[in-house]
Amino acid sequence: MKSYPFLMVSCLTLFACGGVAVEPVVAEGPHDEPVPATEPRATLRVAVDLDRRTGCEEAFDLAVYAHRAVERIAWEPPSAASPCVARSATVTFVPSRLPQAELISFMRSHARLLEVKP
Amino acid sequence: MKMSRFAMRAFMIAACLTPTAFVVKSAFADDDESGDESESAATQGEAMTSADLPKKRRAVLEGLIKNDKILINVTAREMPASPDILNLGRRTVPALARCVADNVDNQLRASCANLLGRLGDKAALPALHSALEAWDAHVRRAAIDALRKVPDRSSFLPLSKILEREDEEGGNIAAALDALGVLSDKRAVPLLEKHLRDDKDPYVRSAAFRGLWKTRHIMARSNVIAFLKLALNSDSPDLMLAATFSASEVRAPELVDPLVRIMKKSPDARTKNRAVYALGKIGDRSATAALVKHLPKVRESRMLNNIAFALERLDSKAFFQAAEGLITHQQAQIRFNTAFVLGDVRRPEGLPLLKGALSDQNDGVKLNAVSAIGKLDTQDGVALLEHYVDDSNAGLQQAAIYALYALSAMKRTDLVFKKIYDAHKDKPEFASARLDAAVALGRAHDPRVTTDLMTCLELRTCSAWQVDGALRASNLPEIPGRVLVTWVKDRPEVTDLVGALKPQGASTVALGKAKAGLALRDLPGTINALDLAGDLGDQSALDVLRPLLGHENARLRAHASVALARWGDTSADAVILRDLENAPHDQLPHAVRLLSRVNETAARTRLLPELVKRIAQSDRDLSVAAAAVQLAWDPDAGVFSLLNALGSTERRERDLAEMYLRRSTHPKTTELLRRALSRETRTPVRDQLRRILDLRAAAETSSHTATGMPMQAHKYHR
Repeated sequence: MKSYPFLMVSCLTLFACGGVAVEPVVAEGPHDEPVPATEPRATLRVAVDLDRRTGCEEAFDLAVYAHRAVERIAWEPPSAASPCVARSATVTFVPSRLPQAELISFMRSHARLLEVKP
Repeated sequence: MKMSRFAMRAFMIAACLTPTAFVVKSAFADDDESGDESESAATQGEAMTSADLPKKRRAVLEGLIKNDKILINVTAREMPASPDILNLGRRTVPALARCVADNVDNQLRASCANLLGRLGDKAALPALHSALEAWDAHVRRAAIDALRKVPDRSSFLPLSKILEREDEEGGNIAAALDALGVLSDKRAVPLLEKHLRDDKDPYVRSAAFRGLWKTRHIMARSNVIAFLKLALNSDSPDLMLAATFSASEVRAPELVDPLVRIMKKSPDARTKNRAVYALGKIGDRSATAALVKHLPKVRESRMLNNIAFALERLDSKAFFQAAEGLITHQQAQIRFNTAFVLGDVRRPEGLPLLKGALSDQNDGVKLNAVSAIGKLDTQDGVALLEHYVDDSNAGLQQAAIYALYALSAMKRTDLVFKKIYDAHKDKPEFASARLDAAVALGRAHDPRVTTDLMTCLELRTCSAWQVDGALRASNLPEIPGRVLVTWVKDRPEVTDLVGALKPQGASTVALGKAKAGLALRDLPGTINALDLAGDLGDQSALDVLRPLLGHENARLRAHASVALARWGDTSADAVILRDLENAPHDQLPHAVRLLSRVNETAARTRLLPELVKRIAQSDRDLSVAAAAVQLAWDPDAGVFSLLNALGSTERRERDLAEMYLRRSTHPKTTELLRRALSRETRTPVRDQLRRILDLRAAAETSSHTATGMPMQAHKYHR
């Protein structure tokens, strides 16, 4: 198999990608802590177009997770060649801390386009 | 301290090897110091029980737990092998401590100290502290190394005395600085700083640097930046290189100037590359001008690549302006490298430049341009690539097809199938190209290539990871049986695949292989079969495996007990927990990997409360290992214990947490780490989280894409 050069290139490329990783928006308050299991969660499916840059998915995550009401952003694998466009994700959040409408508005401020999926 | 560097290194190597050379004889217990990988080491044919050991050594081994004085008068001939002692676990600590303190054979004392380090039990500290005053330098060295592995603030004074000895070996001084660095003790900082600043020996200075780096979490950030500056501005190549690595983690703008100086002046290509990489990580725009100015001088592809990525972050426009000149440079090598880098940058802005490169007279440049277009984040290159799908140049044609395949997100399987896989049928000269196509199509789970991929695995032409997804997704009835037959032929790498496919009769085969392994004293083969038996979950195997709960080989017992616990045998739980507490600290990562195999809810429900108790224990190695198992079983809950460990005041705890978080294969782990990074307020923990995410991304993408489309070789390393 001719995979070794490819593997090597992939590894190195990714190291390089690390070099352009985006700084997170640092949340105020203590570091990450669990949300009590008793607090009700809700989920929201969204379709997202992100800024076309290396590490676009991670940059979105780092920005949105800064709000502590967002518990999880689960991405589906990219359906197109680009990792930044036509992405789908399911967001788990705590509606008592962040109403859905505000969550959508907050996420839109970090995406080129965001639509709620049925 | 005046020893030459060569002599010092020779001494260090000898010091490291001596204990092993004198103690490891034939062992009935396998030694897994280097983790799972050593399972494939040649232990076949070795005795699996102590019954086969010479009488005297067997007697010593049997007395190790009951009699703590047994090693005082033992000779090298009577000393059991290291793996056999480690097999007995931490219960051997009292006897080994007496060996260090009271045996007169310096080589045995050093060996015992080495074992105490591996066991990691703090009960050994007094004996190791005393051994720092031994006359023999090898004994002192073994004790220093052991203390590094069992870091405790009580070791500060004894270790600092090593630095004061006028007759101390340079290697021991360096080792002591390394050990002081992991104590997480502020008193060590001035000592480390003094040696970094004033010591004449570059080897010792490097050790002082490493020590300070390990202590950074209890230092003010300004002091961390100060010692990094000192190292970057030093005249020592080793120090400069080490500091470039650190600079990319600390990402302080204050380090830009020394890094730029290294980029311009350092004669060492690796150091220069690391400096540029660090500049990219720091992301301070003040480096832009220097990087742009340096770009036209670059002849080396990896440097070009690093500058490209640094500039992409700092000033993307500046990079593309510079690339415009490079893609038309008079030297083909530079055009070749530039085309490749433009692909790696992935930005659509690269397309016009690459379009121009398609007219290059040099085929290599053209080939790189075609491949690069396939990597860009734009569909605008599709029309350009279509021109080459029937090109007479086979290399160019294939590159274009794979580029189009990539741009279609692996949807254009027919293109790869017809133009490469089917077109080269019955052409031996294209066998390799056809195989590449099969692997690429296998990633898209194309059923037309499944049989070929199975054969490829059987012939060892493909690796298991290249075909794993395609075979798991296959509906062909023959695949599970063929995978099982492959596993039987000593192919442990397909164990998980067999466990997932669950071929008919596999449990009988796995147990048969386990029994054969026991009869043939084949430890790796036996434990691999036990793991598979655990995956397959056949109740009929309980009677076969229960007797192994009392086996004297700890590793074999561990794999059997985990398999049994998975099937609901509660008697195995106590064995698992007892062995976990008794395990040498350096074998805990292996135990974590083994326990992570437990997928069964019932077994997790039984064992988890016990693991949570151990997370709260003061034995930090055990605590972090228990947290790592919880992460594997329940990442949402487990991650917090590891985040706490990452923020610990103890360096060892932080390093262990980092290791387990890096290794975690749970798909949720990356999400949880991103969330943690986003909310992290402690600077050193943020740095560490950033590093873990970068390393995980590198590992993940290489494993995902390695089975994909073949690409042209490009020679660069960082």
